[in-house]
Amino acid sequence: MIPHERSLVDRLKDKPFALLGVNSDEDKAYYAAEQKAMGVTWRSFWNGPKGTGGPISTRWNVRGWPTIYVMDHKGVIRFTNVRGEKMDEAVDQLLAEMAKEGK
Amino acid sequence: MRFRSALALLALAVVVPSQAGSTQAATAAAEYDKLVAEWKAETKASREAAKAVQESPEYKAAREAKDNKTASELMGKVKRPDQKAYGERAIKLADQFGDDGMRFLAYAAGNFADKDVVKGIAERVSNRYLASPGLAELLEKPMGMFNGLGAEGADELLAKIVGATKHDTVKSWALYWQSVQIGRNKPNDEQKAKAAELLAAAEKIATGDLADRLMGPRFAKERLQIGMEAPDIVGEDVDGVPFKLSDYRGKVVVLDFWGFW
Repeated sequence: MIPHERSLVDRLKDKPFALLGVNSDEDKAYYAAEQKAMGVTWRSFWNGPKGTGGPISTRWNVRGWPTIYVMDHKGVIRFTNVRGEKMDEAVDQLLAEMAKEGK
Repeated sequence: MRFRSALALLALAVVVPSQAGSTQAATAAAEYDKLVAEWKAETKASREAAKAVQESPEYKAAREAKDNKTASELMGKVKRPDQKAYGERAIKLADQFGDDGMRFLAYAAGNFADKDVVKGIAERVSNRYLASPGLAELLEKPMGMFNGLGAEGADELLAKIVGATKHDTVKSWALYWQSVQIGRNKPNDEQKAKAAELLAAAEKIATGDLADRLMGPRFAKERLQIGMEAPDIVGEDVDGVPFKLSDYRGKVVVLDFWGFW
């Protein structure tokens, strides 16, 4: 998970792309320390002290972890739960669409 | 003078009991914080020890050789926090603090999944806390307790709560879990109808976290389908800096619900 996402972020660092998380560790200090140790450079909303029962994942009806949404540059949901290579393909497709529109 | 000192005495008499009450509440709060902090620290230490084993050459070699026995023996040496001991301590504190004790049971129900512990919790809830609004906290995360009690024990407890409570938040949670419990055990059509009825009853009076949870499936259906504009998220990052999902409009975004745990 994390190594793949790190390489995706590295590969696309000059592109109009962002990886965002909703981190659902109950313990914020633990999350902060692990993120540093594991080289997680991307930004996450913190889901609060209730962890997986926190407000953001509850509202978004998240039942499994990880859950993934991919949005295009207009903020439209285009893919869900793509992992590994599939995630890369989805992002590349949306970046290509964006380039084609000349944005 | 005499009059004044009598007045002072009177004031003292009025102040003392309320001070004793608030002191008791403060002590309960301090004991609670201590319990939670110690549990978290031990859990963390155990997690770190497990990680150290995973990264050790012996463990890696065993895994490489597909020697699962050695690998699990190495892992077995990691000291795990004693859920039973923590649970018993929580119950003892609950007994000690009476009306302020509910929070210990709630935390124990959510974190210390030991058969005897959950039985002890259920007993005390039945005997002492059926009317407590604090039951709502216990019912936010009761699955570990239900599993320990078994389906029958859980159903019995929930029925008692539904029958006794005067608090909508508590009642809605209990009705919700009753419907979940039915759904877990291969329900027939009649039972499914009963579960739907309970859920509808819960929905009617739910507040706060449960209301949000019950809204989840509809929100997903109406707002989170492919082709829909993603609803905004307003929150804070790990440093407490506020930001929004919509701040990233104009970029392709992967949104990942994740955690280290």
